[in-house]
Amino acid sequence: MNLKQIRKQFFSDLQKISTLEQLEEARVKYFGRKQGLITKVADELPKLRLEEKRKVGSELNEIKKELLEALESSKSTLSTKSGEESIDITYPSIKPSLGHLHPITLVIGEIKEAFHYLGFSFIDGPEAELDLYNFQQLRISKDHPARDLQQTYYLNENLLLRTHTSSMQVRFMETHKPPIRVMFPGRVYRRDQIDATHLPSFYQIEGLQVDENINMSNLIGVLNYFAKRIFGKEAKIRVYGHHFPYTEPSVEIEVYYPKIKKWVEILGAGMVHPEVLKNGGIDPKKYRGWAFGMGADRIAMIKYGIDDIRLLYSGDLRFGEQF
Amino acid sequence: MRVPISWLKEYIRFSLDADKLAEVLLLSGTKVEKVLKNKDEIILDLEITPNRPDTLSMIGVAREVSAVTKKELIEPNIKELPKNFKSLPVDLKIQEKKLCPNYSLVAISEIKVGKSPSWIKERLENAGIRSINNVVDITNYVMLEMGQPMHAFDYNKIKGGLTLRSAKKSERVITLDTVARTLPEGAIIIEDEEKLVDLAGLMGGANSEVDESTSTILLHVPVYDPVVIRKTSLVLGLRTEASGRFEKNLDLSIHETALKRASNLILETAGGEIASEVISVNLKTEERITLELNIEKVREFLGIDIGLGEVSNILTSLGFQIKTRAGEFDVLEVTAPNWRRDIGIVEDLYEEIGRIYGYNNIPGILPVGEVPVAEESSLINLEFRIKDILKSLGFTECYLSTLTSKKIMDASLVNEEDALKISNPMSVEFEYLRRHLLGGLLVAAELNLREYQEISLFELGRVFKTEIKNGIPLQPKKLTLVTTKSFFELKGVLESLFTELGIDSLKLIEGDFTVLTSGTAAEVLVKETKVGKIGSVEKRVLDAFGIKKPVSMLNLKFETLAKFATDEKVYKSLPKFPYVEEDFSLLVSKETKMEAILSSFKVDPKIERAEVFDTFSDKSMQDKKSIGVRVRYQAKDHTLSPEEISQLREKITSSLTSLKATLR
Repeated sequence: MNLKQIRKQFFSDLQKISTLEQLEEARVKYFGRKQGLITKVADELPKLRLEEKRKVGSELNEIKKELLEALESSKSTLSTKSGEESIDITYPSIKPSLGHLHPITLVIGEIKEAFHYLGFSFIDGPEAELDLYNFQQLRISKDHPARDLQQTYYLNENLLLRTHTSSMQVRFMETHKPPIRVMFPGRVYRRDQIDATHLPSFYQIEGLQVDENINMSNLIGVLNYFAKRIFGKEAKIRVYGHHFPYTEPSVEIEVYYPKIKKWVEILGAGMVHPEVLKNGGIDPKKYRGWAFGMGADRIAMIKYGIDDIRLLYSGDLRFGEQF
Repeated sequence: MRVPISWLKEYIRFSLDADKLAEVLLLSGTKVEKVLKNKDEIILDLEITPNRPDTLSMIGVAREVSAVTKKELIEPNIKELPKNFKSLPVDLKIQEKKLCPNYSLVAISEIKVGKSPSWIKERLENAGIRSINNVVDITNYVMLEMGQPMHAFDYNKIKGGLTLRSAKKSERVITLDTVARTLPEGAIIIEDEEKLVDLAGLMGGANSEVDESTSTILLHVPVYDPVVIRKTSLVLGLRTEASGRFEKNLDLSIHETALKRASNLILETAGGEIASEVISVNLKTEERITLELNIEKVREFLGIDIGLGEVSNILTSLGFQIKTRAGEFDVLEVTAPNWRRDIGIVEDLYEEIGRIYGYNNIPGILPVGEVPVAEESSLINLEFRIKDILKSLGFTECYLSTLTSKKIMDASLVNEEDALKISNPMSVEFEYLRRHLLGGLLVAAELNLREYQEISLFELGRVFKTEIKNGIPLQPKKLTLVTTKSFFELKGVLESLFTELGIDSLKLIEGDFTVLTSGTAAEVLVKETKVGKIGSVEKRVLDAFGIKKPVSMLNLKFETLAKFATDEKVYKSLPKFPYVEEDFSLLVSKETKMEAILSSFKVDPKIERAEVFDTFSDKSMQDKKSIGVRVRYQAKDHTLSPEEISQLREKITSSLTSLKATLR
């Protein structure tokens, strides 16, 4: 075989090589001391006449250099790829420690963002509250069933633990003039037997808008918007008549949550009763308002499929770290 | 209230199935809690709101269905009573007119008390009321039919005239259910010359009950003071179908009609004859309210395009009287029926129209208008910001109970006098309002340490003080972190948090605080303002909570922190000239504080930083420790010359002598 053929053969061989062992075999094949193809040519060199010797000699040197460099280069490529630095990628990772937010924070955060687009501000108010704001200013008279000792926690005759975030409505209106767009997230308290869906305290979010020309259609529009933002764009609402002393008309809303294919009752709403507006120092002849109240715990339980409200207040990390 | 559908159909012909009927009622404001079945009968269990006692009756519910389905309401045919030939004395004296301002009374004699006909029995039982005998059953039947409760006394068991009055303290009566009751002062009772015969509005007395031996009855159809009935009901813990109606604002004027209806049915089923004049008293009347309704305003309020005709139809089907006004085509004069004492303002009419028209037919339109620029969100925004930062620092958020127990307060060293107490708690576990967040967090910590080796928890929530301001207790929001991480790691979290909040000038000053171990606690300050505390939790507290690992705590006052937090960022230009670093190795006494050492190094602005990179001490050093400090020399406006660096080094060295530090 002449040098040109050996060279061609070499590069063809090199293509097929994928391991260091194969590379070593090739080196032996071409440069082995006794049988190497290049070695053999080199061995024949002394037998040639002077002119031939010079020609073949220089060609031999060039090709030898080229082939040896190719072998080196292949060797370094194969070295890094094959086994010296390989690792078991299934080995447990070293995780940076990650904290978690509470599901109710997540729900309130989502609602906050949704209503941010509509220009609503967010404020939290007192939990130990005056009977005045929690009941009287909302047209809940002293004889109303909601005032029962059975249902409300009292500190004394005038102070109680607020039973709903609606206590913020008149508080806020007293110090703010329309246009009003505000939401009140916060803790509320009900005196109830404790079970999977009842605890002494839980979270509500109240919404309030007061302006000229606000009407029922706006309330329904906002509720529609809310349902779609929180429960997905395939969500729907169903509105039905109800009764609250502080709204007229009063409604309750069910939301169809496509993920669980169910209707869930999540909020009460209505047009702010003119007397309540008056109590807040706002002229009901000039302004109208709507208000709604929803249970944040309930929404979190629906969205995340949580079955027991007690988990939300347990501080149990096995629960908390799922969020 | 339970409504058997076949009974309902007596007052309205409709062809809806039970589910559709339930839906129709729900949408118009009457919630169906359950759909029950009893043999062939389907019964709807309705939730009636306190403002609509008129729907605590079959006719009331039928009227609702009639308004929505537009089918005609069929009212029962109430015949005039036959003339009475006898005139038995019928005498009811009312001592305080307010207690029973309106009523009707009649005696019926020669009756045969026995089993009720099956149609009455079935209807009552499907509606959830037990059948007793024909007379008692008819009083219950008319109560359910018309919403007007009433009571029948056995005339012959009554001695002399009857008096209705307020009970005095500790009077007693045995009611129909054979329970002996001691009555609260103020309860409404009826007595004859000898004894109490009726716990009015709640339950009749056993001594005057109608049974098989009864031949003459006294039928009493009253309107009672709703507030007194409700109070009595609550105190006695006794709620009946009758009291549930009497405690609400019933129609003041149907008692006479109800008496006629009941009497007719009694005469039909038990025989007998009217044995007295019908006495009817109407001391309390309310003028039926008339409101001016403007159709344009209805459209505007509800956001719908509804015609005057439709509005008129809806209101008429609900029993309202409509009058038009000559020349004013948009206006109706609407008078509320007697049974709708909840109607007072024009918005009440908008509600009637809206709910029958169907709220789901109102298009939803987002409100337009000026968006207020609200600054108040800043506190809640800051809450969210802080929570996100703590999450990224590896802490998990908890929401814990704001109500706590003496046990937890004792364990966490809170004095009972410092905490607000609930006056009507449900249990001792939730008797006080928490004075700090630590108690709850330590309970959570103990729980989690059963499963986890390391825990890092936080809560941002209200605590409650006994101090009153503007009428309510002070209830500031606090941020508390507990962790099994070391004090210095927690200190690192505090510094990172403050950096993220844009708060510089954080300072820690050693202090002695309840709950924190002496010598491991500090006050946290920002610009001389106290902002919180940090330290290791005392062992006796950890023991009280059953926690076996050391726990560090950081407590911050949220509203105070808010004054300093900012999201303004100011860029500082990058250094243009090179720095030189040099290490110092010092030997100082063990008590020397790191802060003092480092401030000894910062004797010139060109000493850009001084950081401890090593500390070491062992027995051979006795009362000293070895500190390695790396110093960076850098000027903002030029490269420092070796002479300048030498001078700076001199400054440091002489400053260090005041610390009694030896350079090695």
